[in-house]
Amino acid sequence: MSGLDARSRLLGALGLSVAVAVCHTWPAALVGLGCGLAALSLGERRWGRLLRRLALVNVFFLGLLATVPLAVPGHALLRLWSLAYTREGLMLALHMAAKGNAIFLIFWGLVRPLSPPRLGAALAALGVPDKLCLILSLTYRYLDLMRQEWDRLSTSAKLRGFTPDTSIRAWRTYGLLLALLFMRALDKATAIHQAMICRGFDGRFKSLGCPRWRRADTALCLACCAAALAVAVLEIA
Amino acid sequence: MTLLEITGLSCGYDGREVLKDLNLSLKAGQRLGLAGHTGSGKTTLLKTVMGLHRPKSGLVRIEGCECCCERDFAKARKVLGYLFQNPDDQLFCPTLIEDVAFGPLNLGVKPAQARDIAGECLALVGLTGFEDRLTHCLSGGEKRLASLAGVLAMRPKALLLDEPTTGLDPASMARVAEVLRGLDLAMLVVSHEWDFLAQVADTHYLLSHGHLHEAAAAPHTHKHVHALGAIPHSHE
Repeated sequence: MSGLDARSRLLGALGLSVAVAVCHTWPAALVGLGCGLAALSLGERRWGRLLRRLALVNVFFLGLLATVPLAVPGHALLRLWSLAYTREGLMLALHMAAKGNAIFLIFWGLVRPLSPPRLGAALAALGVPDKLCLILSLTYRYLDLMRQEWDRLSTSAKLRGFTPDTSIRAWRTYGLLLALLFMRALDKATAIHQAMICRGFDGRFKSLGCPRWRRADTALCLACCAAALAVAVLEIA
Repeated sequence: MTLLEITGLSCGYDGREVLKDLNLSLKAGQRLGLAGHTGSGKTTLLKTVMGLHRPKSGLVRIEGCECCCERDFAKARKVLGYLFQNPDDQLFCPTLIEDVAFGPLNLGVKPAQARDIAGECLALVGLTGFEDRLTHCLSGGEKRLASLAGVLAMRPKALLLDEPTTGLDPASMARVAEVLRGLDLAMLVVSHEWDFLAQVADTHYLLSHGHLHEAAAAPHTHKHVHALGAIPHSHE
């Protein structure tokens, strides 16, 4: 499972997601959902966390279920004043929800197990520009430091009697804290850049490289291609 | 062989002169200790030598070559390894092995060889087995040693160390001192901890009011003003 190359996981997830995202028919979307469920076997087995995240994603789709049927013309299931809640709109929203959930499950199974360094290295190996890989890697490294800095700032404000509310003074304080956070981030970025050029950095990010491509990776890519093909065939049929 | 030579260096910020007509040289195998109070210009001196701060006047020569522009300093940075005051500035890769290999990879070393060099340097500072640890999860002392390994991986001829013991407890401080004593490299160590400097440096300077003063060892009597002074102990 963890022996799979990050590149095969990324390519597989990308190919499948694009196929599922552009399909219009129900059978194709259901195959996509099946692929998502199958992909879970290659991911983490933390079902509680998966269900919580899945619930969060579906809050968005509940919004679509409430609004899309009002905007699509068709057979009215119920009427809200002059607006009609249509059957066609409901089916469209359900179809979107099925596709969204399928793509979420595919990424959860294939991409989520990758640590940011592995993801960065795989993106670099797949030809993603060095700067983007560098930003990803540095963001992962310094996000925690920014959070610590924010915690320090807000704790020191609290210790001096600051209580968050919606007064002008509170907003002003938040503005100052945020400005200070950005100022410190700028100082930090300057120091880090200096440290990087002292160690020979020339603007290009060099990685220690990806693990080797194995037969299992080829098998995963072939399986994803077959699934994408099945989605395409069902779409055309 | 003179690795670093500073002549008539003057630096300042916002019209305030921090370093005034300063001269200093570092030869191969020499270990210089530089002390001074906060704001005396110790970090400014090191940053100017590395080409990170532009001086008002003066010359910096590294291995006899005058450094005037970024291209000169880029070459010089392969000779001098600079350890930053805050290790979080230096450890920017997520895992330790990636961070230590960062310098060698930038010098054009192949990934497999860079990994070997990184492993050797981690062993040199006593961090074998930490290769896949996340840099932001290390303790203060480990971060300091990890950033030192990153500098050593560049195979420099001299080290410029900026306050390598800031924020460390006595045990971590002793570990850093032990690692530094074991290195066969010229070094310029900046610190305001006289005890630490005495352990790692042979020649000591004091930076005060922009000028360098050599601090000669002078036997003297002293008394303990702290509560634990009455506990039986010895001095080296």
